[in-house]
Amino acid sequence: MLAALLLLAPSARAAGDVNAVAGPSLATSGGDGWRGDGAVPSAQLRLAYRFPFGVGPVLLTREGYARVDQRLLTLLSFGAQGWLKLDGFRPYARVAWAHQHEESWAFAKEEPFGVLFGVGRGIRHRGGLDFGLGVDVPVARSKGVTWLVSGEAWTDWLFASESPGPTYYAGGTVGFGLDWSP
Amino acid sequence: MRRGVLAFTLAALSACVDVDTLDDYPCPDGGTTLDYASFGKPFLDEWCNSCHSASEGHRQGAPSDVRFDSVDDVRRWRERIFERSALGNDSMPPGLDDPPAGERRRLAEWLACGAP
Repeated sequence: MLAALLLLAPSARAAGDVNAVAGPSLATSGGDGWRGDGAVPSAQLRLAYRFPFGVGPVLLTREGYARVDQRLLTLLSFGAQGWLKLDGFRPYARVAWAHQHEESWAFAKEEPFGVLFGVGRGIRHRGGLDFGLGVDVPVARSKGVTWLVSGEAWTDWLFASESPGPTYYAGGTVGFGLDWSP
Repeated sequence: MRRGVLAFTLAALSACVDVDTLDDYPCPDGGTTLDYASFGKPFLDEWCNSCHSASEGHRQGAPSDVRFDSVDDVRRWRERIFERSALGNDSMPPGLDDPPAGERRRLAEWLACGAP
């Protein structure tokens, strides 16, 4: 998916740009019979390509930790994001297919690559949708790169799973990143 | 590079995971009066074994090798059970209904003394 995303870039060199933002997130979870995770911290990386008409594919990953069962959460999502270009900032909306791995911390330490590839012991798989609403605010420009600060509210609705556990995560992310016009 | 980033992430997250461990809780002087028959098995049956002794397909996500069918199984996973469920650790069981704090302290004592 990432390769496809990057391959799209050269074909629309005229006016499209790459958008990349990374930053910390804080969320909560719920919607099940578990007692609740409380605060769920994570780190998020978003990589997108914006076509000249303001919409494009987006790849997002989030790595976090949840208290119940000491779970390491690894979210991968792929979908579409659309931006508006307003004076001085760019609000956006995203909808994406999402897949989350949840693995106990103890096993993740023993088999870290199992987390990445979703094959660790006792790993739970959940599928669903990721929604995001946010804004990118340009703060500086230099040689084809616009530096951004970004903030968003997001929800992951993980309705497809064979294992019990939270069916939604909702939170916010603040980040720093860039728009790059190749 | 990727391995380094992953190692750093896990190390950073590790610092965030604050749990009581067996090393923090030595077996009391004089040992314990708790044993598998009187405490361990009833505790595990009530709070753990609906998943951890269930057959495949009914384990609610419990890893297939983390089984508590016998006292030897429990001893094998003693440290991990402590870090999940004993003393102030309450990340397991996950349900809304939790073992009382007193039971978690007794679990800590029983495990600390070797799960006799």
